[in-house]
Amino acid sequence: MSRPVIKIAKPGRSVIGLSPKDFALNTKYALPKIYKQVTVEDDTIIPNPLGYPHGAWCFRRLNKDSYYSLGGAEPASFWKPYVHVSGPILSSLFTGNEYTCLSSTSSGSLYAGATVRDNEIEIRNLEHIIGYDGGTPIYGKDTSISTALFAEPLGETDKDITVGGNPVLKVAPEGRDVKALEAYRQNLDGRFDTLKIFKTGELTLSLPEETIPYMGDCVVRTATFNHGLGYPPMYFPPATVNMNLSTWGNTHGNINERYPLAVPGFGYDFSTVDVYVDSNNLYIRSIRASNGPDALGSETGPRTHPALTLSLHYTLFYNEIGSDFDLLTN
Amino acid sequence: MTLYKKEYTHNLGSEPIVLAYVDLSTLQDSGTTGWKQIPFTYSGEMYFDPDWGTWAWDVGTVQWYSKDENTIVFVAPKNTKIVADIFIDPQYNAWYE
Repeated sequence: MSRPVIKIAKPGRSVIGLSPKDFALNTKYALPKIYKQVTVEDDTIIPNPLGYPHGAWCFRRLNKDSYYSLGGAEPASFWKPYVHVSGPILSSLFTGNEYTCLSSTSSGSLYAGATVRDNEIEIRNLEHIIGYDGGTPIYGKDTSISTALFAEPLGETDKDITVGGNPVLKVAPEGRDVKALEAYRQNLDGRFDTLKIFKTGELTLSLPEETIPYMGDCVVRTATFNHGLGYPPMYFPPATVNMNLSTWGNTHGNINERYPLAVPGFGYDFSTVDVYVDSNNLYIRSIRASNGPDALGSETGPRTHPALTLSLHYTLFYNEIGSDFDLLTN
Repeated sequence: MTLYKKEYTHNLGSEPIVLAYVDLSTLQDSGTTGWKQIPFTYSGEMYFDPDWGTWAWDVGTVQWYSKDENTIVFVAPKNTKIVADIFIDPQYNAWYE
């Protein structure tokens, strides 16, 4: 059975014999289909118009009250130091214009972000205690949570969905009838948005071996890539902020490999790493802390951090975080 | 919490972009339902640690990683259901750099 396939090669190359990864477009493979983007400030439950579970990708808009653990791991003995976090960085972690991938780990709760069920999508922007007014706790949270919702089901379903908009370009998988096939089963359906790669590359941050005085201020270092898009773009991998690297080797930190193991805070090695974007840049930021007193309140001495190179192989998408739309209703 | 690994061979010859999700109703000690993006680490039930003589949280992890350029490994408690979208696009050295 013959079928139409649209192939567009990378610049300067022929489509003949080209590796699948080198096509700008190849409808032999399915493109992800984003049917809606939604931004919420508070815990929100919206109906799931598709009626089946599907993918959701969340980003946090950060501010000075966003959750950020300043804790370290519990010392292994009474004579080991507690982490000491101080310095100007504490009052300038985020200004309100930074965005990062939402990870349940970094948010401190499994319930943060989007949970997709058959008939509803629960999006939670969790509050946490940032201080006390007398005995009354004061709560803070992220400015907002932006979520991209994908049409592809995460299991078998026989449901159909209605998508508006004309004209439409459709390409079905091999052997399937394009006219009879549900929208989410098409390899390409022009009525949906998709992930559009803008730029890929490697960003590195070299950290020297350094010693911070006992109870000294944090040392902060940042590497940036200027994407220049003028808006915050979605990015991959879904590395986030406040990632502790205690389980990493001391000579190299490949964030792509290691971010799934990160835990929030300053951990055993008294350091944390942030990955985030704003309208101009992609950032890797390292914050190194010093030793505090031990469990008995005694002085412990300075802390020496080893040399370490952090690297992030990033993919930046043209897709804008927080640009909301609903393609099922328009 | 005991974690198990399952490999998937994609044979792409490069480490791909992956978006993956877990069915929380199948996840040990999650206490909730629905689908959520992975990776993440979470706290399960409390248990008594005889080595330290204290109570501790049982910590679980649901994640994936590229073992090599042709294989993805998923890590989760037993009987956890995970669905992954594997992209042709590589994480490293794509042509549009």
